[in-house]
Amino acid sequence: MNPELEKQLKQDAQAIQAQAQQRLATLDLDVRLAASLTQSPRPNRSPQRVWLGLAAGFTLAVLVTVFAWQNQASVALVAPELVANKPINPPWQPNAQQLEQRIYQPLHQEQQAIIEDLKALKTHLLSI
Amino acid sequence: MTEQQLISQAQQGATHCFSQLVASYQARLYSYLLARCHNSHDADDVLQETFISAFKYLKTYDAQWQFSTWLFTIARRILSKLKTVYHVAMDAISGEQLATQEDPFAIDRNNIWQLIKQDVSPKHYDVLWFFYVEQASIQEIAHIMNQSTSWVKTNLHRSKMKLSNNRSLSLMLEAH
Repeated sequence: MNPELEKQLKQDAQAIQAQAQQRLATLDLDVRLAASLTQSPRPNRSPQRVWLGLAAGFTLAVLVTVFAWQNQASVALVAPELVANKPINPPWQPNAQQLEQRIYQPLHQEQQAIIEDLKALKTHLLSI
Repeated sequence: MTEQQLISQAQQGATHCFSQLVASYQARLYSYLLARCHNSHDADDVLQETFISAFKYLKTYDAQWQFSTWLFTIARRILSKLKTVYHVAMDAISGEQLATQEDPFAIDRNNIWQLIKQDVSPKHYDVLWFFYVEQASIQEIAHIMNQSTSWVKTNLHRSKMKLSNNRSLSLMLEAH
């Protein structure tokens, strides 16, 4: 770089430095900073917020307990293996059995009647 | 009390020791900010913010580096944040409005540091300032700018070349 240019850079920087000194004399930086530096650090959580959180947690726990007790659900309380071994008893099974009985009962009665007829016929033939 | 002792005391929370450190470095830091910012009000704000951040994070200061290097690093970070805000604000302010705002501490338009602002990027400007004004080492500049030493060397060379090829600067020097 041109030595004159380097010299000019340093010279003009000195002019800025002089200007900065003038400005700092009127700035009262100490006073400005003192207020910021002496401020006590703000606590991360205020005691009110901690108590509010605890109260909310306790209320939620009570509500969940009451709800579970009222519904007797206890599904979540039963171990998964016990659930797996429990016989399946679906609510529609009695209806299906009834339906099956209604369909097959006439056929069964007819089958019984045929058997009775065949037995009678056999007895009659043997007696000849 | 030595500078290291002042720093140790300030790290324990002694504000009067920190005030002495502020007194030692405020002129150097403010000169850089005055040259770098668009107006003296921004420079005031960044200076104040730099010292507040320095006090807040004083325990993280690494004595391997000079205290001034650490302060310039903080100042540059705050400056980059301000610059982002400034660009957004500038869009909303017309040129006429800016012209009417008088800044009694504005740098002379013929000051070479004011002239080169239009020619070099802020990063190159910083490299030149730290090298010629602060007379910082390449390692220190690299630390302030969070770059490698080779990056600093390359960009210092490029900045010098750019200034050497600037015709208006040559004319100004001839006039002097």
